[in-house]
Amino acid sequence: MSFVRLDNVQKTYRLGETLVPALRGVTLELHRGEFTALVGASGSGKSTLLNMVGCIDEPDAGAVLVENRDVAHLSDDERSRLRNEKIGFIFQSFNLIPVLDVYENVELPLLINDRIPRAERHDRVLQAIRDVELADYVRHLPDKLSGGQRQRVAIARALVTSPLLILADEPTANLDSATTGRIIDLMLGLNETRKVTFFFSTHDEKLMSRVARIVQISDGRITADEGTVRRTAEAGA
Amino acid sequence: MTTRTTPIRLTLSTLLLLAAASGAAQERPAADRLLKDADRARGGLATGITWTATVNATGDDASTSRTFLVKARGDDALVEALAPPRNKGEILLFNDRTIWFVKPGLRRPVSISARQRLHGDAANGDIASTNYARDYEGTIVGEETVAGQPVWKLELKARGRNVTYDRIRYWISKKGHLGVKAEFLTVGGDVFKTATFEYGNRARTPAGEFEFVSRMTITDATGAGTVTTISFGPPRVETHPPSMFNINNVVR
Amino acid sequence: MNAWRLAVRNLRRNRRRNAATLLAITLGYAGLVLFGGYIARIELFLRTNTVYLQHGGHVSVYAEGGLEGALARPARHSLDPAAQQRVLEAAAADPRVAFAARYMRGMGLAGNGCRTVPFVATGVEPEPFGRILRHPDVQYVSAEFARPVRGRPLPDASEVEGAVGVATGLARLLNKPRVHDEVRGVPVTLLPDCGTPEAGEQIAADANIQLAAVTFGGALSAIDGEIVNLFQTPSAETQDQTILTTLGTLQRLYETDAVTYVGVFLHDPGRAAAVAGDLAERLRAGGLRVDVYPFTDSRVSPHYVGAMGFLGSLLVFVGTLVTAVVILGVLNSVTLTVYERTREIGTFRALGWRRRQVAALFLREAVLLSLAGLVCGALLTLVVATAVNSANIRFQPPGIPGDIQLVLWPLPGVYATVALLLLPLASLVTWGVARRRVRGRTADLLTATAA
Repeated sequence: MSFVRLDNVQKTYRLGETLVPALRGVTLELHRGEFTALVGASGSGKSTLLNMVGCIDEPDAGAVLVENRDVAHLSDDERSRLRNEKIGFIFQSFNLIPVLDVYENVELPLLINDRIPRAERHDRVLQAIRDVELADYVRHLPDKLSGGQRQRVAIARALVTSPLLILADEPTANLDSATTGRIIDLMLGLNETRKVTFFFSTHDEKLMSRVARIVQISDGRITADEGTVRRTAEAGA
Repeated sequence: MTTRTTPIRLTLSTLLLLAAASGAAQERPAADRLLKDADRARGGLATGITWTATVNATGDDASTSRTFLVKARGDDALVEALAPPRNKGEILLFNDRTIWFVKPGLRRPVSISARQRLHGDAANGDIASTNYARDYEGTIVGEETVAGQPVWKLELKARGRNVTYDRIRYWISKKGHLGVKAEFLTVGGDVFKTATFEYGNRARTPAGEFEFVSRMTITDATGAGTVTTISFGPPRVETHPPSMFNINNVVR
Repeated sequence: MNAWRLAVRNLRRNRRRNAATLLAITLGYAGLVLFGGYIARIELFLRTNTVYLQHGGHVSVYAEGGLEGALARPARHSLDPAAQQRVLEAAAADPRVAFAARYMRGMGLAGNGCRTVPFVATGVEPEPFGRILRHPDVQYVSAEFARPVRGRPLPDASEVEGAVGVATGLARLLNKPRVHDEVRGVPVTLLPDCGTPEAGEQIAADANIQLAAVTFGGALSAIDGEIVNLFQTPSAETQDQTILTTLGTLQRLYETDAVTYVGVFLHDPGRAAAVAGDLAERLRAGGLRVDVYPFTDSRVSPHYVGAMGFLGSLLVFVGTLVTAVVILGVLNSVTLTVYERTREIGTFRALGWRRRQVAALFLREAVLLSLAGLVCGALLTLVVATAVNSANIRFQPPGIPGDIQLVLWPLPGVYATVALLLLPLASLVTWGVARRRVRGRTADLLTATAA
């Protein structure tokens, strides 16, 4: 069963007087436990597609369904709650809050969830930090961390709510190759052990070589969906 | 007959000195001639004159009556209150433009210049004491009939600033040149007070007899509506020494 | 971590900008509180003079038409003894009334034997006058006008027959620099030789004057007066003409037992209008034809009402201006902050924070900054007020003879009022800016560059 499904999603942006079609009827399904890369040139619609999946933007046409619920029918507060509980985000520039230390940054998504008691919140934060191997840096501010460490914090923040899906927009773009490798290992490890679905955009060849499924997008259309093809080929062999 | 043409000025609710007027000329006379003759009918004598005056005022739901003995000589006058008993012994001394008020028991007399207006009946004193010929420039503006007699109607304008009323309307009889009616105007031209005069008395001097005022009626034209009537007894011509009108002598 | 601690942390991010905003709030708050306190002080001064030292009372009861007509037609427009009694009884029956006093006002001429000068006199009852002089408001704000410049207050000179207090300007015109206590035993020169140089010395040697006036019946009257004190009136216009004496003395001069009005003094000045209305109704229901005025009526207190009207409009104008400047400063600062942190807003939204939760982050920062500004402003107010009040700066307000001390009087009510004005306004503009920003599409917020 698909966790997220996009049905013929279209999105057009206005740039001054010009209308720019970012997505021209995209249909896509994401399943639990998948580790999927989204590949395409600049301006192909990668970020827009991620925004649709992450429910931080709305399509002009078509439907986005999360757990079979059309997000267009949700209020802004309901969508916010959906993101908070089900979806984690990792950003290219990490997007950490500079005045908060590692612990506090990771804790951010939990602060607005009244149903989680304080003690449990504490445990979850520490666990997430341990999962990304930053236990020795709990009280460090972001400007005292390396790029890789900051991305780990971002990953921990995305994990702390135990989401079903983590979205990442070029998560290794600002990292050196050694760090990139470690981040990829971390993401893969989490995918395997926690069964968290990963869906991320990337140009990184190293990352692409380690993913199970690659979705190619060009000019707002899905041009290839290789993981699916491979499985289909295996099933038919 | 020698009649000083300089008038006597009186004040407050007390007196008016009047002299009988000589006959008025029939042809249109000069305005200042009319004023002088009318003043003379209310004027004093160089040697002296004495009479009593009773002032009755009605207004504001009350009536008052006061009686005075007046001794005058030229510009000076000594006015002594005779009744009611509460005011008996009070003296008003007139000297040029200054009035001295002397009261039994009061340590010093109070001087009041003609420009210091007091309320109530004080304004009547200004009217009573007015020297029209000296203080006003007159213009004959018409002829009318007042109290059954033909009169000249004059408009008087103050000559200087030391005069209470800026404008007066004055009616002087053609016969005898006696002032029969006066209207005293505010700066805005409204009638402030009205006065009428009657000349039933006669004063006898070695030089002859002449008419003197017997009654003066002053009506408040404003909201107060007070009417003051001054009735004058028959005048007695006699000699008063100048020392009688010295404040130092009056106080002692 | 809680949201308030987060707000404190965020305030440290733009220290210079936030310090400038803090300074603006501090100075604006202090300025408004000090100005408001100054006006409150002036109001008390004017009110104390109007009600107590000028003997207007919080409420004044005249015979019908008496306010305009009593001086010109006193017999018609005064309160006779029966009317006085009914007014006093009605006042005594009202628990809002502290005390009542009967007054006469009249005009006449004051003489020194050579010269006479017009006066306006107020005849007061000695016992209520004593209460007025001892009143805490009088002692606090107008002590220098309550105390005579020379001599004894009227209530303390009851043994002197014909005791009068004369304003210093009038005393100068009459050449009477001395008071009764200073010239005891000096014989009075009955008739000074007014034309000679010695006359001035003779006149100045004693404290005796004559008061002349027209009685209610229209006759001329005069009495002796003995100057027991010289005083300063609270208004420059009345310095050359004011006499204060006992009610009995003035009634003797005007040969009457009537009074011009009854002054009613209250516990609470704020009740003046209500008491005036009730008193008028009660007296008229009893068949008495009276006019009753609160001291806030411009017909009885034109100077007070006019001055307060002017000061009130000045306060509104200046207050609006200062508030606008402060709030615009906050708006500017908040706008820059919000737009600089647009991407951060997007991050919060992506993490699942709701719009109002994100906007509330900025609101808390504004509230904390404003509160800090108010606290600093309050401290600054105390420092400035203490310094000014200690420096004994004197100035001459328009219409007041002599000078008075500049006193800044920050009142708790003024602190609270201005705080309740600034804090909500600052919060409102912050909420408006933040709310507008968070309404943007999360995707756009995440990709926005810093302002």
